[in-house]
Amino acid sequence: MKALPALVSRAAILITSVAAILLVIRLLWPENRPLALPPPNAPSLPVSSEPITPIPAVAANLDKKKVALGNLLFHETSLSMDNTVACAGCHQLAHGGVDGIQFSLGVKGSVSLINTPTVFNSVFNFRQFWNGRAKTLNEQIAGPIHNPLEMGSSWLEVVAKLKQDPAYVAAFAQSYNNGITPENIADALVVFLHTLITPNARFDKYLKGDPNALTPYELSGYALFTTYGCIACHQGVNIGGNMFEKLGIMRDYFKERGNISEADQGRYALTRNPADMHVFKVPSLRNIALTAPYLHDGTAQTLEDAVHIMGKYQLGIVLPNEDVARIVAFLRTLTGEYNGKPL
Amino acid sequence: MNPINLRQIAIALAMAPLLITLFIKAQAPDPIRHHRILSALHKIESMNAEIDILTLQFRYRLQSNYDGLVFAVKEIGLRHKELTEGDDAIYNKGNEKIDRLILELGKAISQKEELVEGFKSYNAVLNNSLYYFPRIVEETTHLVPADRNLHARLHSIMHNLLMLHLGMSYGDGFGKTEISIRQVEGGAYASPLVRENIERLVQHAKYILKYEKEISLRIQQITSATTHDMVRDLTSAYEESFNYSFKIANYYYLFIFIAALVLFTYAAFSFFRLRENANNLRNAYAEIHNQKFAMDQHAIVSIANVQGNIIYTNDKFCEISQYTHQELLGKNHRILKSDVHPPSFFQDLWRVISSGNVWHGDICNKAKDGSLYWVNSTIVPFLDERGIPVQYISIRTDISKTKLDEETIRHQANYDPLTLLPNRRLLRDRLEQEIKMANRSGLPLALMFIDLDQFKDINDTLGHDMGDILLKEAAQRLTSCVRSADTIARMGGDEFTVIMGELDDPGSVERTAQKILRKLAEPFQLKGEVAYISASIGITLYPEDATDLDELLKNSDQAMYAAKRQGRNCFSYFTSSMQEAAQSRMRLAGDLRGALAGNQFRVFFQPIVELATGNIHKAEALIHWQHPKRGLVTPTEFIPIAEETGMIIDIGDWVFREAARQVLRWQASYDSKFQVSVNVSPVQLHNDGNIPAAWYAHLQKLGLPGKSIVVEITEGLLLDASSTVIDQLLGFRDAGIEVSLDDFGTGYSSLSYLNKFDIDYLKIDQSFVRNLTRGPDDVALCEAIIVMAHKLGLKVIAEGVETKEQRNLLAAASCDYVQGYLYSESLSAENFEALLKRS
Repeated sequence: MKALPALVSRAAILITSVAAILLVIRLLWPENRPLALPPPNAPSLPVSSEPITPIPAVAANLDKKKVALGNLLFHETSLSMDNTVACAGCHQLAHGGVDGIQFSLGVKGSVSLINTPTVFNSVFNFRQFWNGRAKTLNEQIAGPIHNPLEMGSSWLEVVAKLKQDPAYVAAFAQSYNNGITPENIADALVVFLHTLITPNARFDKYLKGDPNALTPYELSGYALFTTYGCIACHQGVNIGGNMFEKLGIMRDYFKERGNISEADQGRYALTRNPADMHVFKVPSLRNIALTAPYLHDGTAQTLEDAVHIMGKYQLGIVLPNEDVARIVAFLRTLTGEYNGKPL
Repeated sequence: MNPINLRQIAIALAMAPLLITLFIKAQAPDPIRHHRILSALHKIESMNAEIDILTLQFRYRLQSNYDGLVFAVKEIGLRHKELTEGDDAIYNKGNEKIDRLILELGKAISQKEELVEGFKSYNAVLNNSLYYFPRIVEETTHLVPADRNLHARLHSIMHNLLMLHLGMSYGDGFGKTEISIRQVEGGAYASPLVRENIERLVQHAKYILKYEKEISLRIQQITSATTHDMVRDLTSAYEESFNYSFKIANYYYLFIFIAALVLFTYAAFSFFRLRENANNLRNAYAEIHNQKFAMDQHAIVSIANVQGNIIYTNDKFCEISQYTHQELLGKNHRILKSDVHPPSFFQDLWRVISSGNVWHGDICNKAKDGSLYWVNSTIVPFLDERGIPVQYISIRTDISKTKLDEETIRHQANYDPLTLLPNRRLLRDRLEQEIKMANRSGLPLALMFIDLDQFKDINDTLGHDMGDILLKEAAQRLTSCVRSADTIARMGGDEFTVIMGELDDPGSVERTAQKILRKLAEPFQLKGEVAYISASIGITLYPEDATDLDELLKNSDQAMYAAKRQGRNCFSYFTSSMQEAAQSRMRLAGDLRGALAGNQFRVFFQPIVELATGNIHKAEALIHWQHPKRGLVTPTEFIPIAEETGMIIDIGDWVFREAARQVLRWQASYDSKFQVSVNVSPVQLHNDGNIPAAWYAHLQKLGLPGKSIVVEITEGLLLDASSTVIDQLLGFRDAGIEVSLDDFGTGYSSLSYLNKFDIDYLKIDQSFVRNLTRGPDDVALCEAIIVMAHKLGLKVIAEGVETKEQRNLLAAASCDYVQGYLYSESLSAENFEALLKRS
């Protein structure tokens, strides 16, 4: 046998030994053994025979740092083009999450085309925006930031501005390993939005079994709310916010109002389906007493006006004032608490 | 590098990616992920079913809020998104069927979502009207309490609508209801309020009818949507793909198992092979170690690089060379070189080993202390793969002793152990060589055969030991009698031989023989005993007596017996004529003793002529012996005898005085600068007497300057000049007596003597002059001698000039003086004086 240099032989043996050991490890790897898999999760549906269900409290397991960061961002004017407009500018938390005017004011004096919806309980809406064009809140965040009539900025700009602020750089670094990004900004804001839930409305207390939570007058309003069919759309945990409906089922609202704008197209703007013309997301009625003016065009100054309009166009009738007053009295019981205090 | 190793490395390198690939390929699909994917698929399936159930529940008013529906739709969307683009995505993973099904499912989900949205909207409108319809019926009937007919119609419409809604109508429920509605619508109503109510009522009734149809269609569309089948298809496609991957992974897994077994086998095989190699190497190393040990015990080993620099030496090497390892390492092998070998020896050696061959031979090296030692060497070049030497290993054995033994053997073979003289064998060698030399030189050689007389008596009476002592003594005496170049050999017993080569003087043989006889006749002191012996010598000559070696030996033997017959203690020539001549010379020697007293010598003068002028200012004094019986005896005949007997000193003195007497006379009468040169024998100068002083005193007494006399000496004198000779020569110079170098060109003719001994004249031997006319070479030689002599400040005298041609040639060569028969033979003082008178 030809004598091999010891080094080469040793190296060959070492390599083969290591390879062999690796292969043994591979052979003993547990992955390839069949696993006893648990059965697929049974669907957990919020199924209830009640049309309206009580709103739950704020989840306890939210990331406090992200909540704080989202809070900061919510009030941050740097998210707008000229550092004048923050989320909180229109979604004023002290005013039911809205600014109380028909059309909000954006950067450089611009005026938006649609009434500002509340941020409270927005996490329970099945879609965002009046026409439901955002399926999630994360998607929604980019909307106002880029809207030239609102904040008029861009992610690029926003990220660059925030990065100049050491406090933000540090705060993002604490919660996100990739620092300040559009996704992380949206995420922090969404986490914060999860805290904007208003439990403990009197009606919720009633639903939970307190028969004295509502006055008989208010209860008669609830009865009218049901028998007039309002509850066909305004149902669920958010009393609305979980379906689309056309504005003007019985009468043509827009023809009678006139001055039709692009904002009046509703879902049609998304789907271009004629059936979706003037179809909007049914708004939540929670805290409705605080979010005047009403409707997507902010034309209804009072709740009474709004209820009248609903009766006229959705039901095709002129609701008696007495009934409207009762219904409004009921609607006022839908105002909840934020941070433990009545909104 | 060895190609086998290259191949192994290449295999090892190729194995690495192969194994890594196998390792990755054998990765079975992650079961947890698989579980999640299956969960997602099941979720889609179950949520899809949930949507169907919920819509039906709504249809039959078992459900009153859409949160569940929203949740289900959202879940389906999220799960589908997970499968499409999340971490657990199965979309775009190379399975076209799955990709297609995913996309189709996505589309179906969107469609279903739209259907659900539509259902929700329509259902809300329907419910709205259904909620409101009883109320408006009631309101209307209140307005017309009396119109029972209208009451009945309205309640019938409400009843029919509710039955339709609950799916409990039979026959053409829609048709009948529509007819009822038209009847109510077409009725005549007096009160505008009633009219208005009826219109609203009809509107809602129509909406209910319309949306009932729409809702039924939607529910049918929702529940009959293919979503469910698609999810099933997707699930089975996914499971199929998963199972396939699992199967493939298992194949790779098996493959890896086989590879592992192969590698294990190879590793084990390599391990054992390596161990075997290691054992072999260990054994080989031990063997080499032992062999090296053995070799180191026996041999002198060194390794040198290609430049010849030492890079390894063993102890034996250091021992014999007397250097330490440190002193040798890095040094060139030349450090050991002795002058024994000519340069060509080493050139040959290097030529052999540098061409890759083994050299073998004996080398004499020099140790540190300068002593020489002989080694039998084998030098083996270590070659690289191209056959070019990279190192040389030399293995040597000390053969100094062998060499010495060889010398001893050679000595024993050729020398007589007792007397240390050459033996018969060597004698034959030498004789052979001498014969060759004689042939070359043309000079004869003599072979003497000496036999000790009465030696047998010594042995018999005093014993062999004494005989041996005597023989040794006799050998020494013999040695003292002959020239160093002559060979004395012991032929065995009491027989000796002497070879005398290159005999330019035949008389020397006889003289030597007589000397031997004389010496051997002296008493031998043998440990208190005194013994006397004599010898008989036989002499034969080459080439006269014989040309054959054996013949010569035989001749000498015969001659020796002749000597014995003559009465011992004498020598005898092989040829009778020689024998007679020898006897004659012996008589001549006896006569010579009385010659000076008997006034038998005469001084003759030969003129030395100045070539340029033809004048005679010099003469050479030559002695003649006028033998009373034999007539004129030439100097060549009697001078050697005179020298040998020492009579030359008296004779030489006598010649000087005669010459001085004549110079005095001739200077007075002819030439005040007249010079006479006298021949001085080496014997005279070797003698202890102070000749220059004595002669100078004599010249002064006569009133003659030293320059009146020139002494002529021979080259032979200068050759072995003792301090005595040098002193004498310097003495002549101090006395103003000039010195002439006789017979120049016949002996060694070394030019260095000329300056060293302050010579004044150079006498070109007559043999040269004789040859002058034979060719240009001799003329050139003569010219060269003359030019050289002149350069050294010497005058040149040419001897033996016999023809005018010779004289002319010498004149052309600027010779100063000439001497010879052309001018005059040697003349008696009277005749010379007459010559002077004439000239």
